[in-house]
Amino acid sequence: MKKVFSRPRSLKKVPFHYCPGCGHSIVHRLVAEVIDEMGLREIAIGVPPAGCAVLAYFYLDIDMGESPHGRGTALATGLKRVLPDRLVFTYQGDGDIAAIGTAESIHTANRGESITALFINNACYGMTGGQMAPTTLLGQHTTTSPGGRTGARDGYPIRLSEMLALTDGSAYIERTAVNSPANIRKTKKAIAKAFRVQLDELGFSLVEILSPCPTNWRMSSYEACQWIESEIVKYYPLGVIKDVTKRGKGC
Amino acid sequence: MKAFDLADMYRTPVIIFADGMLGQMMEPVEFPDHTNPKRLPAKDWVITGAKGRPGRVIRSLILDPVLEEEHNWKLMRKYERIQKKEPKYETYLLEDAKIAVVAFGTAARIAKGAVNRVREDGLKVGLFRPITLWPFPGVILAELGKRIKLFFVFEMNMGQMVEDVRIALGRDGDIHFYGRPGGIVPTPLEISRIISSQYLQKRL
Repeated sequence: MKKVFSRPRSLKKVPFHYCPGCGHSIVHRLVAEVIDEMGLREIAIGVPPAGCAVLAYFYLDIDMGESPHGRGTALATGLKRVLPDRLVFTYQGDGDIAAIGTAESIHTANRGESITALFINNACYGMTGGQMAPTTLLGQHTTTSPGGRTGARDGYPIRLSEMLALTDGSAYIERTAVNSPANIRKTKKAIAKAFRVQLDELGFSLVEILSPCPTNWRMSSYEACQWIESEIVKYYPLGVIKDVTKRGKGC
Repeated sequence: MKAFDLADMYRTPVIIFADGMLGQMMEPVEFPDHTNPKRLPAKDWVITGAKGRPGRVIRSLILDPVLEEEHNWKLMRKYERIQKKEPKYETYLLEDAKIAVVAFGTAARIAKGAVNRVREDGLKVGLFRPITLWPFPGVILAELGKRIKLFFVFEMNMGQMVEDVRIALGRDGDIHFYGRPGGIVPTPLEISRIISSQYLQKRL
């Protein structure tokens, strides 16, 4: 019988610890699939985040190195500069890349480091109990904004990808989601494209992935996927935000 | 270069204490002749891409309490090894000294000038300068404590090393502490005056 589906080589044979309905398991699998399909397993080096997905190294069978909170892109910069022929990527949540690591994110993009950041946005601090993050939507209820986030008191949700797209060093930035089969396929394409941009040394690449966090959103898995579609996407529109391959380098 | 070698050998951060003086002053420096780095341990832990092997992980997060404690014991043994092997210090005119000035960094440079001054007046004073503050060269200090009566600890802070000196000496030797909190940098003359007055008050 023809084999049509199997575990990617780069994904270890261990069950994920993530909550039911969490987007991490999906994204991990996509990363492993892309790495396998592009033949990158032996040159890939990943930097897991501070957060639930720090344990990504239990699942991805590639070299990985922990960074301190928020410093993923800084560590990736070092790795890439020492080992320029490797594929170096970070896997960071919104609390990591858009809160504690904001400075590193901006400057890494601005320096145009040839690394890829996979930015998993669940609009809250997932691991620590669903507190309000810079990316939390206005009106969203979290454990630290029980009455809903208000702009006047808590500031406004930050659009990091758009910010990074303004830097001359960034080459490819796309926002996707993993709430439907169609979006998951787009996410996979975006990850592959980001890796390709890195291998072509065009500059900094980033894929922001809107990811469900049913546990902290207090929703069922289905509701969480729906909520991405009905609420989050309104504020964080999906699509390519920047792509220099379409305009030639240096635009 | 020594710091890099140590960091590499023990896989531990090595911190070089600089201060504002070092950062801002200018004077000729002598670099030691280039020495070949020590034979450094093989690195079977580096992440360079999992070529023909399973993926490696560099991490500090250990969630299993049993493994975590095991790891902490391993670190403890490493710290003990470092404590035994790596303390570094300089002694200056301590052979016949009745007072040992204990100072590190810029304070030690000032203290050395002060020691030279009081030596001109015939006072038997020397200097003990820890080069490493951790591991602290406490064993050597304890030996000195058996024959030297007064330890004059001079720091350019309000006493961050004096406790290490106290622990090292135990019941031996008296300690006189003089600290300056930053601002005015005391001169060797000032320090020499304090040393002399201590010397005479204690009738050494």
